[in-house]
Amino acid sequence: MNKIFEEVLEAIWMCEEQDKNTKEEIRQICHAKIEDNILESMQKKELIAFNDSHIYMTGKGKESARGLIRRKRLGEVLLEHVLNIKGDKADRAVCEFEHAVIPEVEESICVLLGHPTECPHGNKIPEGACCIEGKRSIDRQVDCITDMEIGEKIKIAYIKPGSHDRLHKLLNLGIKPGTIIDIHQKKPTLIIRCDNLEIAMDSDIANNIYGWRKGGLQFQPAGRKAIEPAKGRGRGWGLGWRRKKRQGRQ
Amino acid sequence: MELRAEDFSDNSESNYILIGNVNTGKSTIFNKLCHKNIKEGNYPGTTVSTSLSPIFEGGNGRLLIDTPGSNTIYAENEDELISKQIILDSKTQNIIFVADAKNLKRSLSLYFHYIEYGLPIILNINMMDEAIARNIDIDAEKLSQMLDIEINTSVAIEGGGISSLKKKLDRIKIPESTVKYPEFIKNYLKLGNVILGNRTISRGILLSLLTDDKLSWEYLRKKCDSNTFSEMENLAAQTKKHTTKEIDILLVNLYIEEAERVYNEVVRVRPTPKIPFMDKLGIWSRNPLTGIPIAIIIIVLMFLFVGRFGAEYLVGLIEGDLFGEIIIPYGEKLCKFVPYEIFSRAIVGEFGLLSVGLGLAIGIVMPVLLTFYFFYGILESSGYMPRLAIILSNVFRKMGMSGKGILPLMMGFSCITMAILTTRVLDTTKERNIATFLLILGIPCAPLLSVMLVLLADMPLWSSFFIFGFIASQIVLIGYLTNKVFPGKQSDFIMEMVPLRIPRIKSIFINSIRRTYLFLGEAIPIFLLATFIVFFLDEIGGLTVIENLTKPILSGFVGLPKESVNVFLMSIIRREAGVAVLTQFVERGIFNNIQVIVNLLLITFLMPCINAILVIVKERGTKVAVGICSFVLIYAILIGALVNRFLLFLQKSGII
Repeated sequence: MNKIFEEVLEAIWMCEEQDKNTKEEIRQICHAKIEDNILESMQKKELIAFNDSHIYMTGKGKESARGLIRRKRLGEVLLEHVLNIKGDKADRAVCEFEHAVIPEVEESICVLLGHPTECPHGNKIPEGACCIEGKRSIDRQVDCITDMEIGEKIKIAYIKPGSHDRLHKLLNLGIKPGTIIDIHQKKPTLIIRCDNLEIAMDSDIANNIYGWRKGGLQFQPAGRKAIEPAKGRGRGWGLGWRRKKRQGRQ
Repeated sequence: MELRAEDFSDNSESNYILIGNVNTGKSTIFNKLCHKNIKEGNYPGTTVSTSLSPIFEGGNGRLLIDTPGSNTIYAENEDELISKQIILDSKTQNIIFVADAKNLKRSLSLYFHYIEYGLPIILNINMMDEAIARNIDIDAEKLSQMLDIEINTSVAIEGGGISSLKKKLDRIKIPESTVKYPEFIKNYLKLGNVILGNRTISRGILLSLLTDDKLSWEYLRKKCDSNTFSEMENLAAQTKKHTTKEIDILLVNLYIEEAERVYNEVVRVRPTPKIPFMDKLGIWSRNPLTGIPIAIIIIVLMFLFVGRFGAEYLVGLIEGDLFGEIIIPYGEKLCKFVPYEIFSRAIVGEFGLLSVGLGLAIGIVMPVLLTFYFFYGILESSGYMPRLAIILSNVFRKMGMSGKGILPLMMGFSCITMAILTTRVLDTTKERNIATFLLILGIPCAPLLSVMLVLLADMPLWSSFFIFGFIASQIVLIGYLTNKVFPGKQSDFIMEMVPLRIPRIKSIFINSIRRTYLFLGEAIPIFLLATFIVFFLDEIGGLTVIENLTKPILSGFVGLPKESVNVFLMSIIRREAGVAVLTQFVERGIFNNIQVIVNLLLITFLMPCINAILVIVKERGTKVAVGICSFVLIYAILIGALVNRFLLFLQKSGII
């Protein structure tokens, strides 16, 4: 989503908390300048509805705003209470934070902080799925892909910049942060599938690639199973018996 | 097959270059457009050099250039540099970009690299059949609108979409790049154009300058005076300060992002109900649990087809029945009409041109070669090779090579000379040297292999196992040792897998006939010459002199009959000719089994053919070539002697 849209949504959310979602109020606290054409295109995307005096969020808009606010305030808690960064510096960092953090990180931070309910300014932090369940441990931690099991779906978090050549090669094959891959085979070499490409690589390279296990955080409450059974076509790939055995044990 | 300047049409506007990721079917399109027959194969790196030919029928004098595939313009490999060089030399004005339908995202990201050169471009989406089989829908019309260029879809291997591609070449045009560069890069491009003034240098080259690309800097040096050049150097250095990231990584990321944006607009993937059988087979064949049995089955099938059908049945038919019963007896009768007895000996005698020269080439080498090329062609075009590379990757890692190294080595079984050229796909000099070394030392090429199979067909089974087992284990051992000795670092092993396909039997059959024919055309004159030299030496008594000279080494040390010197004389010229002569001696009972084995091993190890040596000198340099060859010579003689003693010992103890 557009960064300006995000700023607008945040502003509306904050105004709504104080029950004064008039256009003027929103315009005042928003970091970005609100032009009419922005509101129009946001309306077109079904994020908001507005009339001459007020702006309202739609369900979809609320959902996005909720995430943004949650990430922003979690970030504030993290910086202020844990990392002890305050004032201007913290404000500036948090500004970037809410736009950059992806859901997986958001949950990990929330668990790490013990599901805080208020930000340092005393505002309410919207609850996430993890807060409702009262999750105690981060099971969605980042792991090296060589530690994952055959058949798992993985979203790449980062690639250690070992050598420039290597990074370039991986990039050209479409392997980069955010790419979703399947682990197909681990011996004698690791074979992964990304999009429609099967790629074989040495453990030397694979050791530098880290990712999250992909198991439907958005689609179902997380934390019940560490490993989601791969759905659809993913099921048949590779030697599934090892994975199934593991699941049986749990 | 290097291109020379004069091969190109003077009018660069009518030159078209095929560009695309590896294994997208560029060579297939080239063959179909030009009615040519360059090598196609289903593994990355089939093409390692360029080919050029006029487009056939309705091409209006257009020339087409085929290039090795690459995944980036910030090239690392020798073969990847080629296409960039051609574009920089302005040898071509038009790009035919070949995309892989089932991996359109990746192809598009490379496409965005190439449009920055500002050349007219046409996008050909190939292998549409494979995309359809995987339930991938591509909206080509929308894509054409988004990119603002002509788009053609094809299934080149079946010839589909080729004629429409030819027609669309008229409507080729220069698209506007939609990639959104960050401000500092936009500024750089703007300032760069100001500095360079009216010299038109494309954005692609300007961007390459930022990535310390040597080719582009050289290009710039030629285009402008030293003042402008240093100004550009300053500008590039200043620009690089704007980011902590490597510029090429940043650029590639931009291209991928843009490709993803376009891809999401035009491609719909519906879930596939089940995995196609060929994909399943592909998975089985690269998994050690199922893959090793599959590999064994394939080797056994190959042995049955090439060894039993080719080397026994077909050779028996051609050499035994056709030559032995018909041609040679008639030849003898005809020769009686000539009064000089020496003439008869020259044609049908012990070293006769007809009985040995032609008889060996056509009777023995041809049938086995044909069956070998056929079987090998099936393996190549089915995409099995990279899977074998996976299975063997542990062994290869110990030998200092990434699994990719198996591709040139497997090629070696087809032709050593070609295989040495293929070592270009390997990333480091170390790997290339090890692969070249192993190719020369250990791998028997197809013609040699074929004659060996004929010979081994009449010997006890253990001798086949001994020879091939010995060759295999020695490749591993020597690879392991050279890995320790050769300096340099091992490269990363990262290889894309190709899908397993059902091979097209008819075209493989035609191709194997063609390759055999080409081989015979080249080899028969040499066979005849070699036979004649040996015949001549024999007549003037020189053979006895050489036999006596080499006797201490060959008979004394290695333990071979003195006649073996004939075999070696022949094998210096062509290895398979040597073995063919050996076959003759064996038929006369001069060699016993052990001596045959020792001799075969010696020939395999001893000397590559003249062609191969020339290629090594060209690719690896004289120093490496001399080093490799002299090591091989000494090593072969020592091993020959050792094996002889070992087998004699086994015989004495009654084991064999």
